Parts: sequence; structure tokens; C-alpha cells
Amino acid sequence: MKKCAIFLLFFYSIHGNGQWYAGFEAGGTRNFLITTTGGGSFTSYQGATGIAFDIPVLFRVNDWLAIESGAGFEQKNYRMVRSGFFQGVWQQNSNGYLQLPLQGNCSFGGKKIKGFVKTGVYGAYWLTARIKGTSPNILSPTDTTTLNPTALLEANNGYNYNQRYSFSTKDNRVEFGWLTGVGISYQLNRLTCLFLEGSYTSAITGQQKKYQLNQTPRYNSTYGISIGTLFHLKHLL
Amino acid sequence: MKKSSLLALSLFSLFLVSCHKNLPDAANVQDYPGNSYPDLFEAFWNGMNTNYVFWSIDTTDWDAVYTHYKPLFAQLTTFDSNNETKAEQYFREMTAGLIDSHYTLTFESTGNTFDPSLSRRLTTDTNYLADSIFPARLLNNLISTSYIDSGSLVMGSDPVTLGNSNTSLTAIAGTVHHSILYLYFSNFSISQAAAHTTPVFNYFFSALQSMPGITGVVIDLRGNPGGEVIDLDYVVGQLVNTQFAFGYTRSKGGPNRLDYTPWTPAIIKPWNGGTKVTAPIVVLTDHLSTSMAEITTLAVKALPNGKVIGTRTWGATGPLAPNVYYNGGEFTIGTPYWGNNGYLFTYTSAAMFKYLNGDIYEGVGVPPDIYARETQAAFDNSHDMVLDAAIQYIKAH
Repeated sequence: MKKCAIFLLFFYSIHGNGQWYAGFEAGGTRNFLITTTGGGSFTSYQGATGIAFDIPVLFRVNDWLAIESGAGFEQKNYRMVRSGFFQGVWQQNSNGYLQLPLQGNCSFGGKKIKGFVKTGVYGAYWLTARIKGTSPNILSPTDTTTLNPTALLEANNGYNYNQRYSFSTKDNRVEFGWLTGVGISYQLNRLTCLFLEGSYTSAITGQQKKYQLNQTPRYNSTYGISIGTLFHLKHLL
Repeated sequence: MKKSSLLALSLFSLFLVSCHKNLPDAANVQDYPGNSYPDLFEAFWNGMNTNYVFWSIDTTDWDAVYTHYKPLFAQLTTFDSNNETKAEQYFREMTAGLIDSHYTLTFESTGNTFDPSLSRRLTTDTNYLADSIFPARLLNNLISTSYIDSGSLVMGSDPVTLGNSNTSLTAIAGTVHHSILYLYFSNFSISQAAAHTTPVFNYFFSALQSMPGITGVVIDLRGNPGGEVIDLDYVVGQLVNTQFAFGYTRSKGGPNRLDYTPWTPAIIKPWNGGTKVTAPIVVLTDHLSTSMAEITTLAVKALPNGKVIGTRTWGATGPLAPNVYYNGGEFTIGTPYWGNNGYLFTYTSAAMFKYLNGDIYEGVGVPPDIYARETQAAFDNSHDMVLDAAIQYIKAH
């Protein structure tokens, strides 16, 4: 009975005054880890690219305002690189998040081509993690003793790895933050709308739970660009 | 309405974008000026956060240490001998329970040192360091005269440098019962072997390849304090002809206590092709076998024909390296105010070691497969109980 009522409400909202849209969206991300290295020698964090795909769901309140949500998968990757004597030592963290945004969407412009600005909040779950890189192997010095090595990886053989990251209790797998985006859409026909969007996502919770005094936080900061399509469900169903 | 809402949304977006996160300063320990005891305390406490590699297994509550000692250091308002005594005592208390058995504090202005693992051992056994008749008496008066077959003995000593200290490398090799190859060396500085010790190693490793009917190999690491990593492949890599893994290491991967690199396999590579030794390989250990001696012990233990006989080792299995190499390990505080040597030098491992089966022996030592230890009574009766146990094991296999 309850399920039936929900279905009727949904059916009414589609065929009633409300205008529901749903579609697909895919694109790329470039994430930066906002943190400090704590004085790590010749060590820095750099941004890394990733992929993102979403199933956006949009409820148009009127001709210029909509509420947008939908589930998506977003990679928030980053790299640690060392330079100078330590050149060649690096690690890329590839982290996948299941993300659920809730945002307001304001559109403006003509009938066919419209611009839009949107902003809101999101919750995400850190779903996957992989690490790839090269580290010096402390117990594997090179066979020929080099008196004046010009690089750490000359003195110690490098260990190349590409493996799943094992989550531990220190990892904060639930992330919250805010996001904003701007884009342009094109009404292909009364059913289909295409759009191009640039976005920025900023976490307000860190990647690690608080477990020590004077802990250095690690926040994701992600730029995205994507293309997608939205279908007017009223005309689709 | 439409325009004002759009404007409001845009402004809200700009507001969000302009929100910058405030990250706490996580400075290099050498950036602290060190011009007061409270500042030295902060530098040391944070330096340990970032550079100490055993936080994942150490039971010291470092946050509680901060809470307890911060106000005590705040009371030390001037540098004088009375406050220095108090400060050194506080630093000792803070680190007394750390499991890193390489760990040593050196107070550069007074020359005082503190070694928590040694302190713990001496607390329970004041005779701990002298509680062995090995190596000098045993080597000179028993093994070289009563065990090694006449005509096979090769021994010598050369001056070497280990950790900026001058010392000597003593090595002894020969056969026991004409079929067991025996090797002793006093530390891991074999790459510095010169005129007197090179023949010892040449004899041993040549015999390993050419001597017919070898029934066993004994590597005597009793009393061995460790040394250079390069010797690991030189010694164990000549006992095998294929590489093998015997454990893992990991170092710090970030400034927080539990930031680590992934585990890196610890691998022995054959040295110059190596020789597949099928006879039992026995490592002799005692409570003073330390660091590389323990790593070598674990490498041999991982071999199907490897055996560890003796007593539990010291328990300092974390490899050492300059701090900048692995962004962790030894560090100095107070250099801006106190000069190049700083106020306090902390000697600590740059990586932690995990044996093949997942066991970590830091602070507890590597247990022997077969327990045996030398005794005064046996020595007086011309017997080395540990070497006897090795010979007995080899004969039985």
C-alpha cells in the first residue's frame, strides 16, 4: 500500500506540474590533496586526473530554478612526488567515491541554449582505493657500492608497486563537502537536453579520522569537467 | 526574482570557493629555534610524531605524553644545569617505553645519552651486557683451538669504520668435523674487509662452492651488533642461487603517526650467481645479536634448510638510514640556537621490519628455533653449548 502511494506520488509529479529530468553524465576530474608534507624532504603533493560518471536527477521547480541530485562515482586522485636526489620516488593514490549531491540549479538564457549555475552540498563514501608508485627499498642496496650516488634509486633499488590500498581504522571513509558548478545546456528537442559543465568540489571532512594531537589534515579538492544529457521524464514515460 | 536568485546563488558559490582551509603548521623539526625548553619539547614531540616509525605497534601514549610534559617543560624558563638535569630526565621518562631497540637520545651539550631498550634490560638484569663468555674468550680459547679442524683455521682482524666510529672487523672461518663450514665475523663491515679478513671470507665462500661433502654451514652471529646492509646479500646471497623474500619493510609516508608507505618486500638476491646450499644452514645467535645480525638471522630462518640456534636476539630489526632518504628516522632538534649538533640527537630506525609470517620482532628479539646458550661450566669443560647444539642438529639432519 505504501509502495503504491509512493508510485502514485511519483507518477503524479511526473505528469503533474513538477518536471522531472534524469540522465547520464561523464567526464574527468583533477583532484588536489590539501595538506602539508610536514617538512618532508623534496616531497610535494600534486594533482592527478581521474574519471567521473553520474546519474543526475533534476526536479524543475519553475523555468529558472531546479533542485538537482543523483548518484555518481567520482575519482579523487593525487600524487606524491619527490624531486632532486630523490627523483623517481612517487606514489599515485587513486580513490573512488560514491557521491550523492544535493544542489540548487539556476538557469538563464534563451529557449534552446541556456546557461546554469548550481551549488550545494554532498555526501560521499570512499569506495575504492589503489596505490601505484616506486619507493626505495631500504634492504636492497645496489650491488656495486656507489660512493657518491647522484640519486637515491642509484643507491637503493626501487620497488615498483601497483596494489589495492588496504583501508584501516584511521581512514575516514565518509566525506562531506560542498560543490558548485557552471555550465551550458542545449535543448535538443522536447525530450532531450545536452549539457557541458565545469564543477568544483571541496571536502570539509578529512581523509583521516582524528587520532592524534596536532594531526595534519588531508582534504580533497576536486575540479571536474563533464558532458551529459538529461531526459524529460514526462515525455519519456 | 529570477535575477536576484541567480545573483544570490552565484554569490553563495563565490563564498564557498573563497573558503580556504586552515592547515596547522607541520614544520620540519629543524625549523624550531630551540631557544627555550618549551620550544625544544615541541620540536621533539612533533619530531617523534613525524619520524618515529613504530607508532602502529608501540604502546606509548604519545598524546598523553604531550599533555603531561608540556606544563613541566613550561616551568623550565632558563637554561641552567639544574633545569638541564630536569629536562633530560623528562625526555628520558617520555621515551622510556619506546620499543625501537636502536633508539638512543644524545644530549649534545652534556654528552649524556639514553637508550630505553638497554635501560629496560639493565633494570631487570644489571649483568645483562656481561652475561656471556662470548665472543673473545670463546673464540680465542675454544672455537679456534678446540672446534675448528687444524689446518683449516683462517682468522684475522682489520680496522673499519661503522657509523662514523672506528672499530675492528674480526673474522674466523674453518671446518668443524671436516664437513661443517664455520664462519664468524664481529660486525657487518665486510665491504671494508682488508688484508687480514679478506682471506677469511674468500676461504669460506670458496669452500662453499668447491668443498665436497659439506654436511652443514654455521654462521656465528653471537655478539654481532650489525652494520652495513650491503653485507646481507654478500653473506646470505652466496648461500642461494635464486632470489627469495624473507620479510617486508615500510617507512613513514606522511607527517602523521600512522602515515606509512606500503610494505616493501625484503629480498635476498644471489651474490655473483650464488650457490645453492642444500645442507642445513645454522645461524648462532645470542642476546647481543643486533640489527643486521637479526635481519641476517631472519633471512636464513626463511630458508627451508635454515635454523636459528642460541638465545633470543636483542630486538632491533628496523633498518637505519639518513632521515631525508625515507622522510623518517633519526633527527636533531635545536640546531638554530645550539649549532650544527643541535640540542638533542635522536637515533632511531628509518623503517620497520616484518618477517615473512607477519611477526614483528622489534623490541622483543628473534626467538631461536632451538634454545642453547654457553655456560661457564661448559666452557671450563672445553665445550661451547651453542656450537655443540648446532653440530648435533646438523648431524641429525
